[in-house]
Amino acid sequence: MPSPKPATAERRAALLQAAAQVAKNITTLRSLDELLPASVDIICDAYDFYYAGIFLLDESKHWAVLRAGRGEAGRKMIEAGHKLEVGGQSMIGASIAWREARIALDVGEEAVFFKNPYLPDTRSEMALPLIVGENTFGAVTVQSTEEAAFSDEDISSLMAMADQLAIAIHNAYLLRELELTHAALLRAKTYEALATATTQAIHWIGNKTQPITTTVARMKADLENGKPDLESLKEDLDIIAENARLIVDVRERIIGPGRDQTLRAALIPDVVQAAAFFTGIPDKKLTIEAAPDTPYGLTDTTQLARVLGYLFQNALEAHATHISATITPTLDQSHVAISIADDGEGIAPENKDQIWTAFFTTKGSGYAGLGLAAALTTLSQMGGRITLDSEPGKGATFTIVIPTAPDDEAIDLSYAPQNIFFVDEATDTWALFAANVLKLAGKNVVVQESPAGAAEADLILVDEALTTMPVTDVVAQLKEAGVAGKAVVVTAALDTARAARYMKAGVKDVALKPYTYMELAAFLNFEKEK
Amino acid sequence: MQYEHKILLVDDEPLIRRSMQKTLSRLGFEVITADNCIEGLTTFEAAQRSDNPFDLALLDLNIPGFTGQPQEGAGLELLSRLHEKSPNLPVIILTAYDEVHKAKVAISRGAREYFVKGRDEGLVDLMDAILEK
Repeated sequence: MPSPKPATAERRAALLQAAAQVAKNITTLRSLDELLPASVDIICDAYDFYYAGIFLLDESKHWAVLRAGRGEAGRKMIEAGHKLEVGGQSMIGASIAWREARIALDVGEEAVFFKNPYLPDTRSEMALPLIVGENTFGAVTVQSTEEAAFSDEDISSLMAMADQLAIAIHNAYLLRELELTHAALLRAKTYEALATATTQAIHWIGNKTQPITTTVARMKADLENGKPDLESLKEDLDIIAENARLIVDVRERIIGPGRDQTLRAALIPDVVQAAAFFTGIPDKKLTIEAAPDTPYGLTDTTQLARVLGYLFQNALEAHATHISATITPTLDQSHVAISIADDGEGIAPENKDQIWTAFFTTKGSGYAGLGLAAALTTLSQMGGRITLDSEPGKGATFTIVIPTAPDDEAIDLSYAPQNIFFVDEATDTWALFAANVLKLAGKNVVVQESPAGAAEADLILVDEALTTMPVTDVVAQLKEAGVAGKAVVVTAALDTARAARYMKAGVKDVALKPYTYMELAAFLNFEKEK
Repeated sequence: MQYEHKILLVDDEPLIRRSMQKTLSRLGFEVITADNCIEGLTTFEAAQRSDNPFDLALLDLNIPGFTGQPQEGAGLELLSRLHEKSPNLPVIILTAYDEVHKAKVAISRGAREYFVKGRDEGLVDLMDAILEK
């Protein structure tokens, strides 16, 4: 057998570089489908070998199956399902069975070599087992067209590389096992949650429909008697109406998360303010604080306002005397966090997991227990999440996190109406933004809490969350002045019934508040053309 | 008005209490209601001390328990306490849970019937049958 050839300084440098590259790949490429082909290429390129391939044991541990192979030969062998028997005639099979390297410096002379028609020019071959502790995962084959191709240095560096690869394969298997376990756990949890929610839904529906059926039967009997008691019939109708209302409320909370979402850049403090306003939280009970550097959030504002509304409602129902909303960017600025903290009754530790389940409530028969389940679904659909921190008697803090929106771009507003009148508080977050942008664009802008003097404007924008007077009164005054047709009610959260009411009162339009330069330009253009 | 039978109805759904009370009153039952275990037991004990005790109890399965908190299966706890006072009292568990397992547990704990809400005509027949025995 020819003796191993000596290594040159150049080759040593190439080997070191290859070892470093394999090590780097092991840390960056987590999937075996990427790691194994990359490794055979590095080995062949660095050592100038004819061929390299990686075999992994199948589930039976009886066969070593080719998982990556250099070049055309490798591709064809993988396609053909090339595999070698462990402990069989091949060098790979032997190296796995004996858990040791097999080296043939002239394969023609190596008795255990199995002639491979795909690699006819091989004259030297090395098979290195892939071993971590007691586990054998497969083997690497390295082949050269030269006789006695491997130097001692090649052999030791390739063995070190094989050890590194084995560790990476081991890690990938562990990760796969972890993922499978996780998926199984997730399936079980999902099934359990669905089963619980279904049971609770059936229970809830049963309880709400039962008085309806009982009452209808009784009313029929009363009417058939011929001597109906009007007071009793009125009470019966109230019973039916109340249950119908509860069922309709649930319908909205079930449908809510299923609605299509239109994600857009939004001024989160304005959405929080609107949600508090629509929930009817008195000003003195609420503090809203926003960090000055808070970026825009990427969200569907109507849906986010609905979610925030559930949280505000929960705080009120927990008898909170004060609620504080804090809006801050996350440390890496990738998300906007909205914390809603109250000083109410708090949530018992044993209920902390269950509160996210549909139809779970501790508040009694007048409640459906759907708000937080709907919040969870809605937020996850917009790439956000929600968490709870609470101790009984010490209030509750819900924290919502939503992605940050991309940066806004300045845009030409010269074609927009010249005289714009805002019916809004001068301190309102949205009015501050929109009025400033329009002033900078050379528009005449008035921001005022009452519509007095709005008649001169080309466009009147009425904030639906105006706290100083009901929007319906503002619209009535504009109508009386004959200028309701120039007014648009703007809102953070569109609501069908409210929008219909304003339109019936004669306003030109009801629209989502534009929160960015782009949206403002599109909005003004649209309203001008309308 | 003279009633033939006196019924204790314990349910935390106010509209169910009112609606069933009206229906059963029309049919000649005297119906006294309570919305939780504590009130249910107190009402039962007071009637037992008087000369007009209850003839039958209709208990919801999930009602506020003896701790005052809503509790799964609290109706069965009340059932046991009522039977301690009056072992032969017929008790019907009235629930929106249409579940075999819960029904089996209720019967094994001494309930005469497990009645799923929403099948009202059947309930009155059932009450008549139990009370005529």
